[in-house]
Amino acid sequence: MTRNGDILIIGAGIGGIQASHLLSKAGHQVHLVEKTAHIGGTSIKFEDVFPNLECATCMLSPLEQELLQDPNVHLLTLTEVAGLEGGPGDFTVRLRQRARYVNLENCIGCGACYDACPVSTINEFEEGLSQRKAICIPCAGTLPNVPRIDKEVCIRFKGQECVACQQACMFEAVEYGQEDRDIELKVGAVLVAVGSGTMDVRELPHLSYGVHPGVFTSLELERLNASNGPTEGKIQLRDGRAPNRVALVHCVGRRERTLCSGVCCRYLLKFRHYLRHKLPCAEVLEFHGDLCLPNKGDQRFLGEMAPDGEGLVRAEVVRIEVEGDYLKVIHRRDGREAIETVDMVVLSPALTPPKGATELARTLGVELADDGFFVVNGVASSRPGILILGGASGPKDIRETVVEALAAAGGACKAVMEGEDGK
Amino acid sequence: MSEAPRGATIQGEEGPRALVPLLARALEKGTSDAVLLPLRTPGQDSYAFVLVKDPRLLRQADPLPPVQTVTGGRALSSLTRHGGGGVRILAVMRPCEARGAIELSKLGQVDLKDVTLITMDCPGTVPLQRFARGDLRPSAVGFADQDIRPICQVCDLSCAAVGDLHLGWGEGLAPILIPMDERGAEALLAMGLRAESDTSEWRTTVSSRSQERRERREERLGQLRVASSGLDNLMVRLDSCINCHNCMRACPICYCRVCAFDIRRQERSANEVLDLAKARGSMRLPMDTLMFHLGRMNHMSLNCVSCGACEDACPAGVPIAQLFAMVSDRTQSAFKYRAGMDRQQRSPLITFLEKELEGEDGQRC
Amino acid sequence: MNARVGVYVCECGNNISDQVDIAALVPMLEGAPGVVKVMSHRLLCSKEGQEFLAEEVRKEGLTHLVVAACSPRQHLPTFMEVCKRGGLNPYLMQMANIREQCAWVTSDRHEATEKAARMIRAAIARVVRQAPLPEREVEANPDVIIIGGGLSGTVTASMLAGPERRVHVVDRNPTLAVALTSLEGVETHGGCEVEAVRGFFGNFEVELASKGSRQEVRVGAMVVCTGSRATTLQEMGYPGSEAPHVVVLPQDLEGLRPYLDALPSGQPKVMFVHCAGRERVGYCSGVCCLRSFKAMRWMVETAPNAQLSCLHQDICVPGRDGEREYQGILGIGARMTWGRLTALAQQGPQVTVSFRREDGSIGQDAADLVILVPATVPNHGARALIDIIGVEAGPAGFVEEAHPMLEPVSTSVKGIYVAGSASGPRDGRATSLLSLAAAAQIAAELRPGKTLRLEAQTSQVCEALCTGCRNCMTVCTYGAIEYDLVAQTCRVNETICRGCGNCVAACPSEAISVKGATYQQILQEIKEAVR
Repeated sequence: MTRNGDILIIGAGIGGIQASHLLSKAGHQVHLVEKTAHIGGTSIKFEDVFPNLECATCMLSPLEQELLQDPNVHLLTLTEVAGLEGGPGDFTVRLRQRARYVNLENCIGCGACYDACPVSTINEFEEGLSQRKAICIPCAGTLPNVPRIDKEVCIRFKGQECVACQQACMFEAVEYGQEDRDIELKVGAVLVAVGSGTMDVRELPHLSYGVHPGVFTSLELERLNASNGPTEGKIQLRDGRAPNRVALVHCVGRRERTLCSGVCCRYLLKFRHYLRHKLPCAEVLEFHGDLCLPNKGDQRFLGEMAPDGEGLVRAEVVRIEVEGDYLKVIHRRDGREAIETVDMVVLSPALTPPKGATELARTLGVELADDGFFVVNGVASSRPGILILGGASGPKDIRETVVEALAAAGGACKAVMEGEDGK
Repeated sequence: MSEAPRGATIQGEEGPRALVPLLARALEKGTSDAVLLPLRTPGQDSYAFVLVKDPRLLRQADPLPPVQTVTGGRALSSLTRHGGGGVRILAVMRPCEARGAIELSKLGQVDLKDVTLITMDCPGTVPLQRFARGDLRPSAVGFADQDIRPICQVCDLSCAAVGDLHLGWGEGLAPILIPMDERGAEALLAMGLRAESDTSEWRTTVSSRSQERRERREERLGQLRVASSGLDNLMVRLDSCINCHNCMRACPICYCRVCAFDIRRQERSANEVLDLAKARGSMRLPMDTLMFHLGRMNHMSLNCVSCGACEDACPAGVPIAQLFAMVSDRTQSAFKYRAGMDRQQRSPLITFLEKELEGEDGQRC
Repeated sequence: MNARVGVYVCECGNNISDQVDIAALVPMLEGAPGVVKVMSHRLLCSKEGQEFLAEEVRKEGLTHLVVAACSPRQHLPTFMEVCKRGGLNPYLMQMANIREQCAWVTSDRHEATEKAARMIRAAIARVVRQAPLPEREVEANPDVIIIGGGLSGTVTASMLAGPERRVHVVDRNPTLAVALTSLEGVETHGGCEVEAVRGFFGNFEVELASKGSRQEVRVGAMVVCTGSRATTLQEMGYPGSEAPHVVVLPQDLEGLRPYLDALPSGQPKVMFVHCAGRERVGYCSGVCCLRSFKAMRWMVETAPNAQLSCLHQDICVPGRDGEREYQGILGIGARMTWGRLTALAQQGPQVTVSFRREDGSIGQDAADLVILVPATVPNHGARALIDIIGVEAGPAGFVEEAHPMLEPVSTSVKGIYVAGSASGPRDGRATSLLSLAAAAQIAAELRPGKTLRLEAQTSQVCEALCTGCRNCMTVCTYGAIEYDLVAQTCRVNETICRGCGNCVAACPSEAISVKGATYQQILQEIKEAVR
């Protein structure tokens, strides 16, 4: 049996990207499959990352650029895995790639087509905080800098005769005739790097998310703060007002899911930094339980973000009530209930298994645990030759994801060579 | 120093010459291989740093000449640039010269490993040019003398005990040799002395002297800052500069093999010069008068010890030492650094601090 | 000048040509010194554009190339490839970004054209001063040395050892685990310490010393697996901690048995005290809460009569199973109290535990046995070893990673990696994963039989100007500069130099420069841009 050295990586977030780099360096051909039209995963939504508050784009985009130019990495966007057969060293994988309707070679990313498109819809990347066109990239700076046509909202695909984008394009890059296609590949190992999801906070109606314009999730705050985001970096309420008093709520969904997501304490502290810069006059109250600061530099980070514990309130948020423009945060400390009135609340929803995990697990023939995350032993899944890295097997920060990406890349090489995966 | 040091009172002469017999003995006993200090020159009644092996020649020694010729730091660097070679030297010089030597040691140009530095309270020196011309030739300078160089008049570190041993003296104070560190203590013992005398009188005298100088420094340099504020005014202060670069050559800290301003790359084509002349109306030649000084300040103001060798060396009377002191005080204090004072403190240029120059409002260099 | 510079202006479709008047621009460039040809092109990065450009280089016998187009971030590698295809050294090409830095940000068309002309003339002035840089390779030794024969050392060794790669494992302990000594292709050096390290990535020389003998080992990469240890009672410094019924939670829980056997009958009180030593070390060790919970569960089975209590601060249980474990412990009936340990005192058969609550008030409790859950600190001798091998230690004394997120197993010295708890407190799973990661990194970067490609744009020292002050060495984070004792000047090791340019900034004599970005090149570029 010939051992195939090609590796399939599912998911082009930071984990998939780092694994691709390492495997390419090791001389393997990588097929990097990504469900959306762009790479970068969740991390590209952040402006800064903890604990050193480095600019996320500065950190990630050189890696992304290198990846796009790497001849050893075959990137397949808008692609999902349809089926998998075989074993380590000899897998056959069937992929389904959806049509982008834009030619990747010809398009230079000038954006003329977005302006021309008459259809506006909600921008999911921006957490619904802004609109996008039917032909678009999610936000400025996402890579590859080539748009796609969203068939679901494009009026042409609903029968109307509209060629606005094609007419606006000077490079003949818009191709309505493209079709979804099936691709079959032979690979030696598979890496699953599809990340985690976040819980829908509407499951917790007592927190008034969706009821009041002042309640936000953490990802929404990240997008508000992002300089390439829907408000170009201004942190403001949905009606445009600047908040005076902001409540940051830890551990949302922790009890319900029996899961400490591990990253929220640190990113909420990071939000202090955002708020301090963007809204220097706003008062920030952080309602927390046990502070999870597991790394050697985190104590110092706490000291810098909340000097002398300012703004920290050890209390469990019981519910959030709406009072006109304001929000009442009812919390329990030392057995008694107290109320703080604020105009903005940021919730930290628990991390969940990735969307579509059940489907993917079934397609790949690997097990999911009771909690819905992929079963792992180290980075090895329940099926030889398939490794799981990053958020797919439990909540992780960027560092842990990269460690697992490197370990899984190594494991993939071993699986290919020996027909057994590294444990 | 954590607790007040004690010193050894020296018998014999009143001033720094009291050191000479001690140095001679060190050579005779072999506790030092050589002594480096100023000697009166054989011909012209000037002074030069001499490396002495024969103790008899110390008769010509004058540890504290009334004028500064080659600075002690430069003498030490010419000797130990390529390593001290294990030669045990007793080096005697003023505090500013010693500070220069210490800065040079941080820059790899002086090896202090086997050097015992002996400094002493310094009353100042007279301007080299006046001394050379003969119109101001005291045999010694006293602490009350007013004729000392402008840079000396504002020197608040004239009694800085930066050597391993420091001699306190003057104005009625019996010469007292104070060990400032372990090496100094060993050297003192080797000289057959014991540090048993109280130094509080010396400390009080030095403290008030430095305070007076400090106030004068702030006042004078503050006035100079106002008078040279803005490039036009600064150029006026540099009016008489003749671009000889002598200040750079005499400076103990300027140790580059070839000064960046002497390298071909500083030259411009005639068309470039004409373009600039067009833009400004006129162009003084050769160019780079102001640029040379600003460049030198940029390169070495963090290490400048205000020894004044530059102003002594200037043939055109530019108050260059004072200008450099004015700038260096600010650049050094921005980094909480005083050149030559702390042997362990690394030069700010190669020190990385996560937070630097923060919370400094107003006065910036 | 003998230069033959070709200048090619990309219209980028309408992206550049919309704002920059290409037709007016071209004649503005024709007279520049050295320029033999100026042309515009619709889209130089397209396949057709690239072929055209490579052909132009060949056809016109160009010695230098200027491409006025988009950002080098986007297409520098593309046009460097074009140069190679056209037979031109890729470092004799300069890009002028007249898209992102001009057309896209200048609203007035006249201004944009003028600016583009300046930028391109500046690029021309620079490129004629560039020197061709060779692409070099160096032979590399694929062998690896691992310092530390514990869990991380063993896992790393097992992943790397193979017929084409020899793995050395050094440990100061003379007896090493069977799991390690039984590995094939692994040479163990028990009872040895690392005395000195010379060389660089691909070519290290490591000096080992053991009682009496010395040995030199040549490897291409090193992995620091020196692990960590618990902080000691003495280091924690709590008054009264020498009390006989106070013990530090041992790695092997069986170590608690003698203490359990000595417990009084009935329902003895056993208190676990978390965060012991935390104030002194200044960080949360991250793994101890779960360790403590495991120990508490063991205690429930081993000493079912014991009344368990726990004095703790913030409970840190990230990870999939953490919260479940925590909830489980709450279910076994242990009394949980929030408090910072301040002092202990043996009073008769019991130990009085004093602690400070969050509101500042002092509390006290008593127990028959107090088990301190200790902070994790770097292992003995870690500091000395860090100094010997030249990697950096963070403020907590652990080995500092090259980048806290993106390079978790690399250090500031290329070719020296770190795995396990040498870089911070870790649990078993994390230790394993880090070891696998380090092994994977080495396997990819140091492949048997492959040479290493070197950075072309490295620093170089002009010996005539160097005064040997060694400022550059002090600021070089990669250790790529050496002091030559004979020449008494500094020298750059081109194998490890990454061309960052810190040394150039630190040199007072302008004696060191980065190839391809020298003082003259940049100065002339700027002069031309502002003329």
